[in-house]
Amino acid sequence: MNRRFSQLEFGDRSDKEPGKAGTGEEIRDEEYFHKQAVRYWLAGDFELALRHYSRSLEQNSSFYPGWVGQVLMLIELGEYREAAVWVDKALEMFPEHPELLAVKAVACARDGRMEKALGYSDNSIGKDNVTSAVWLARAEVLLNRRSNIADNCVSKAVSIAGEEAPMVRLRAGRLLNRQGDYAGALGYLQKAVDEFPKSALAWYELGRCQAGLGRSEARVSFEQALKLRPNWRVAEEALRKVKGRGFLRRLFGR
Amino acid sequence: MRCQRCQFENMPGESRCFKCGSVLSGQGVAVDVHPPRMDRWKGPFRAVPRWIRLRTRFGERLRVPAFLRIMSGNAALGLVLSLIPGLAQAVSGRFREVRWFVFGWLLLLPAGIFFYGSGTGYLLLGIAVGLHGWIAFRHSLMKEHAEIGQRIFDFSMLLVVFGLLYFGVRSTLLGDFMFGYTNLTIPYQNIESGDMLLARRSLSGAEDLKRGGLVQSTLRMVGRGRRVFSGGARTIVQIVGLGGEKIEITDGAYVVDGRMLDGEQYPVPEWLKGRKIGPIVVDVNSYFVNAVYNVEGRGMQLTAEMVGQACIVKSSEIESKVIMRWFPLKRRGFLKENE
Repeated sequence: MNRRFSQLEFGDRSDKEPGKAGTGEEIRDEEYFHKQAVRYWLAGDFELALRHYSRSLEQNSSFYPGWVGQVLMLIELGEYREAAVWVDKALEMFPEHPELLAVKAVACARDGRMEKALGYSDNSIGKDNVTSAVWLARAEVLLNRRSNIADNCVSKAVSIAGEEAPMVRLRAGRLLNRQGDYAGALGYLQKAVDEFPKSALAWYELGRCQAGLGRSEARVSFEQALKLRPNWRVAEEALRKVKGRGFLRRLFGR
Repeated sequence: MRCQRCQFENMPGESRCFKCGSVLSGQGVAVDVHPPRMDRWKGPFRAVPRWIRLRTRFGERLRVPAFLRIMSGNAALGLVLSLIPGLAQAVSGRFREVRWFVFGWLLLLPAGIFFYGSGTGYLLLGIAVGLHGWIAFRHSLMKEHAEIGQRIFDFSMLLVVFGLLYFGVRSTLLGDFMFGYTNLTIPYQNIESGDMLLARRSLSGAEDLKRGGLVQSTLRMVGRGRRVFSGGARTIVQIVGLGGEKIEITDGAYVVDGRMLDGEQYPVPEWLKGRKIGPIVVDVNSYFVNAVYNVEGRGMQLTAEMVGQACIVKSSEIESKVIMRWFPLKRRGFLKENE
């Protein structure tokens, strides 16, 4: 699991053609498609990321990061019921898997089924080898319930992330952004853009956070996101809004 | 064969991990790996209930002091809180138990008001009151009183109390508005006998009243000793003559100061038709109104004095001014002024 993101290349070389890794043709196994999926996720293209997670499972249906990724992409796309159905199927293959239980909790929380979400989150957190993804899911459920200990869960997720820390920081920043805690998200997202300078998603989220805080840098962040992924409708819309904001609205951050 | 999840070394040929139960290898096993997708048109339909779910978690969202949460379990306080349906449950964090009842109440109450005046409207309002009573009963009394007879008594008493409560709230909040049935038929204003009309008390001032306007007033008993007419209780009448004017009834029409009024706008009621009456002079601060009386005794001679006594009302006796036809539904609408 910890090796999942360790070989990703997000730097100057990250915009190479998929499948051509410099020294020759990469083997198109589940790991390869998984990496591609993560790359598309970092670009904010959740539909393509989902497709690549599916392709990774076509290579090996027992590759559980692929299942987790599929469910997360369905959640990103707002298809919460489908995500819940799909995670149930994944749980048949990987019974009581903490990460799968955690993403089910997230799907339920986003769909407004808080009691179920809390139940799945409790279940996932009680398992052995709890990963940072589980703590992040816990944080999301608790933030939805406006619990004060949600911040501790985010900190815990980052502290145990190990090699995955950059990715977890980005996820944590997005989570706090989503809940309107822009001040808390800013630190994580600034680190995330340092670590993934070619990620349109990271820049977009940083822009949202800065816009939420009423900072003028938001415009630069959105422009950077659009430079990395031209014609991204969501970022274009965000940029248009930021450009149209007057001094008072920026002052009050709304 | 090593499990990817728990790294347990399994015996060759096993399909699932002996330790954690995970699938060991998908090869050779047909598994559908393409997730179900949502049709685009479903998005908005799902968004609405989700929005409601996310915003109706009162019990979770409300920061209720612990003492109030504990006290809300008390039957008396629970009943007081239940004056607003679901509030007692929301305070004690159990709103989900009654959310569908509250939702039903929220639907039925406006629907009942909309159809007020018809049997359907009364039925819907009755069910709304019943739901309100049930929500209060569930929170406060159901657990305390286990016997069925006691429960029926409690619920019945709650229904009576809530019925009175609704009546009181209506009188307090909507005291300016009054409903009333009419037994006039006025083609010009699309009014038929038996229609329910909506009136406002605050518009009953003399300066607002014009000829042709409909007002609510209580008719008098005329000729009490001989029981010549019987007036009704409060009823809706049409203003025909203003203070200081001279009214005559001739050829089945009203004549005001020598000018004959249109029969479509000012129809003479049955009990005055075919008679020649007048002239009747209307006092200042009084109105001559078009009202339907039950006349006891056929062929009885009606004098101008008797008609004046029956049809002239003082401005202080006018309770409200009609503003719209409320029921039947297909003719609902505001009234047009005659003059």
